[in-house]
Amino acid sequence: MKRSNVIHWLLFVCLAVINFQVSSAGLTSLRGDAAIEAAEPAPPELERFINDKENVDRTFKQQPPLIPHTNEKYTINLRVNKCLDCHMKQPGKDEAKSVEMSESHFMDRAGNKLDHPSGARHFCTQCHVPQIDAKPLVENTFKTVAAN
Amino acid sequence: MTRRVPELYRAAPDAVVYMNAADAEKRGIKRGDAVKIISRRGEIEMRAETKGRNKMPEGMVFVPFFDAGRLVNKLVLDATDPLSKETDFKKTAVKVVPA
Ligand code: HEC
Ligand code: HEC
Repeated sequence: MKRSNVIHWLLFVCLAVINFQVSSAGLTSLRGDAAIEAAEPAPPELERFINDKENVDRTFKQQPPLIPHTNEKYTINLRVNKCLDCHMKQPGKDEAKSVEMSESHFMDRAGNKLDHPSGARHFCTQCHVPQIDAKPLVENTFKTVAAN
Repeated sequence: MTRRVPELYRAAPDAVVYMNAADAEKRGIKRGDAVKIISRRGEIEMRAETKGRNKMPEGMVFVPFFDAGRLVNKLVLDATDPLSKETDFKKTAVKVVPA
């Protein structure tokens, strides 16, 4: 065997050993301790969404705001959109308490104003989602607009 | 969704099986019950969800794959298309029973 070949083999063995150690070092994923082959651990109960008077802070410009209330009972289909009961202009209602959708929801895609909500915004939950009350599972270092 | 972006995690924390309410009722399953999803290859246990953003058509259930605690890959066929090598992970015949 040539000398360079011997070095190659040594290197290969070293790498193999390191590899083995890394893979057996007991890294835990978000799965936890349950082995892949093992039966899944009992599933956690369905979570409840928050139902607050306060809006959830936005984290970046143009973010569709998160829904601070539950929405299970608000049907959205071809014919009805329950969200609009509250999120349209409410004549006679205190301006400060208004939760009217912003102008962007009353424009067609060319930016022309409409006198009705845009069809492109009909399925609200495409963009707006409710939230449960929980701590992140993984650290996240993203800085919000306010923090920047 | 993902369990790493805080807003998305809080919107969809754990994987659930989405199914039509009529399908659930026929099997004696209520929203939030633990159910077993069984295919000829394996089985997993998770909670049933009959509401949510989309209404499942009758006869079809949906399971997302973002949650490492519920490995839907245990149910699906471990095969690839011979030409394109595309995996065959996207649909499989299952039965759903109360756990
Ligand atoms: C019964 C009235 C009502 C209905 C129906 C309703 N909302 Fe709301 N929504 C509110 C109120 C009031 C607020 C302000 C915060 C609060 O008081 O909870 C709000 C807040 C919001 C916000 C946050 C706005 C911001 O600036 O942060 C979003 C997004 C939202 N709702 C979306 C929806 C969607 C989508 C639906 C339909 C699935 C819906 N809402 C149905 C009353 C309603
Ligand atoms: C295509 C995505 C999209 C859809 C669909 C959509 N929205 Fe929005 N929404 C946004 C974005 C982005 C913002 C924040 C920027 C803005 O105001 O245009 C917003 C803002 C809002 C706000 C806050 C308004 C304010 O004054 O700050 C409310 C309330 C709201 N949407 C309700 C709704 C409701 C109700 C529906 C369904 C009828 C809906 N949205 C559909 C993207 C969407």
